[in-house]
Amino acid sequence: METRLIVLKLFLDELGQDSSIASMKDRKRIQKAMYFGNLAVDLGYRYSWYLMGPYSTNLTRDYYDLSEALETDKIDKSLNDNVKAKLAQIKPLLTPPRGVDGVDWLETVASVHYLQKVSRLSEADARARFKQSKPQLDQYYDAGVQALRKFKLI
Amino acid sequence: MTFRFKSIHDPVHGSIGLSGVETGIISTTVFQRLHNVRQLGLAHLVFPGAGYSRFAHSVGACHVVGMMIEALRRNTKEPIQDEQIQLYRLAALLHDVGHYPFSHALEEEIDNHYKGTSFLAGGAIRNKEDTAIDGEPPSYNHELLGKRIIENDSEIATVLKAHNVNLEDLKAVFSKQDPLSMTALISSDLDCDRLDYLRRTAYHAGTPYGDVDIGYIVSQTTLDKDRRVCFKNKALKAADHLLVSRYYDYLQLPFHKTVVALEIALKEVFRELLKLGYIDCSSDAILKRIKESQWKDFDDQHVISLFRQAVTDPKVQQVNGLQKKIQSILLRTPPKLIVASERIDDTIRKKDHKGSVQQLNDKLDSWAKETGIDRTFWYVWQRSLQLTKIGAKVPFSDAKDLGDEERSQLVHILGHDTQNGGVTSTPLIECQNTLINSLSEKAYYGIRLYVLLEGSEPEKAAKKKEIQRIIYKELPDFPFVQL
Repeated sequence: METRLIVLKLFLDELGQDSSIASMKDRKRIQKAMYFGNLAVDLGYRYSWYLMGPYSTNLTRDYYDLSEALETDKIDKSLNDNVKAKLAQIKPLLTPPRGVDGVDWLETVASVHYLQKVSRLSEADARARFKQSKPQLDQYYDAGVQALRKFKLI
Repeated sequence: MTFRFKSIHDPVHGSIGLSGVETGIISTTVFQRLHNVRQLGLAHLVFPGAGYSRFAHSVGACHVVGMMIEALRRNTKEPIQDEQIQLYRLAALLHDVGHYPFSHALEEEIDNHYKGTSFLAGGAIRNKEDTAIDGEPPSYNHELLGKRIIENDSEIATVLKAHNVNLEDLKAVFSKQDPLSMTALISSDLDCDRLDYLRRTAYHAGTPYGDVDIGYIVSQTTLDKDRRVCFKNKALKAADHLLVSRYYDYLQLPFHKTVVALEIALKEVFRELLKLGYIDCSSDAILKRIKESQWKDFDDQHVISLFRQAVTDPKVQQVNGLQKKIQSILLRTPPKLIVASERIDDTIRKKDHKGSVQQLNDKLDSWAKETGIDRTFWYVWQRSLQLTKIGAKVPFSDAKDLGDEERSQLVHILGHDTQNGGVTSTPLIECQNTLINSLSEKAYYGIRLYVLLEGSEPEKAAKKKEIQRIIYKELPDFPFVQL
């Protein structure tokens, strides 16, 4: 298996994420979880803004390749301790508050972060853009901001 | 603003007009470098005319995106300002400025090498506090590298400033970070990149498969009610033809038996030279090259010169087989195709394909031993290719479950429904009257065994026959094709 795919699989494992991409919800979960994994340790994925928040086409290519490679190949390597430690720090952010769907939570925190830090919108503009594009997630916005502040990401 | 400040004569598009800022960008050394980066890697060693450069392709992509926006403006009456058109044209012009020598082949090896050494146990620990926003990954892909060049190259900065083009606005379009932008023009299944590439490759390689009606497709560019870039219904047949042509282009050129063999050798050699530390393509080293105006020298010829030096280097000679692999590129004596399996089958048969690949891989050690040919010279190549793939990888078999992001990459055709305040568009692949719709459950499956053979041509032919005899005897039921 190519090293880039091994590293992606080990990142997902370390973040507690299944590498299944069977459903759109699975792929969204991986996109958003890896958004934070990539923030903790820069793998080189870069994200663009789409309706469901930040999305990386290069990551899409890699998780399709990974899914195919895992059908036949095994991984006998591990991440170095430095990388593991950085991913362990960010991992708790991926856990949703009680009663919130895991993927909804990931979409919320990743989108809030992207709008404020990558699109560099002001807090008010980021909030307005979020509410406009994701009205169904607006109820989690404040909790998302709080969590990101706790992790010193905004 | 005029987009005819200067003109360039192009064999594919005819006379291409350029604005003042585009003319300035083309004159920068980082853009002139693209004259020396071939679009198709080593394919010119097989198709002698196919040595066209990323320079010509980039100018063509700039021209095509300009025509697409002009058509869009004409077809929709959208008040698109010239300044906005200029940003898209510049993004298209610069879209390949970050390509490494030999393009994708080297980029993949660089990505694998630096991810391994930086992140896996046993590699060098990377202690830098990098983040994906302000910091740097261990190596760049060509898109991020292009962005870094635009940000850091002093000549580009001077040209943009002289023509009052805001760097941040350009970066937003270039990196597709603006949620309101028409990104499909520069990144989708039918973007300016692919529209230029197919025609240009067909023209230069002498393979007619990509000779499609691009002018007509481009003239039908429009927007649906959600402001998604799409094509008018009249372009449906031409767009269908283009996607089918893309499939044949893949089979004919990138998958050509000798082009594949040369790429296998190129990647293998580059991988070994990275391991030896013979060349440094880390993000730190590349950024240094950019800032010290040395990126311009890092082109195809630079890598070939490096190979010429390496072939006599004692360090290289100590790596088993590496010297011979380098010679195979320099002397155009790549690994020979021994056996192959090529078929078109249902996508649900993908597991059979994987099983066949595994079957060949499992035998390599024993065949190497039996023939006395070093195991390091044996390669199994495998590819599956869906006619209806989205972008580079996404299969379409799970179409109903695609997210909006994934669907945005598809070619969309404007519908007739004028209810609900506008006209919607439909992915071409969901249109029942297209060839790609009816072939969406099919895929090409290719498996090939290559071996780097030594000796004279008659000796190689004899060895090839000997290996074939062993393989056919051991795998009588394997679906080999006649070579």
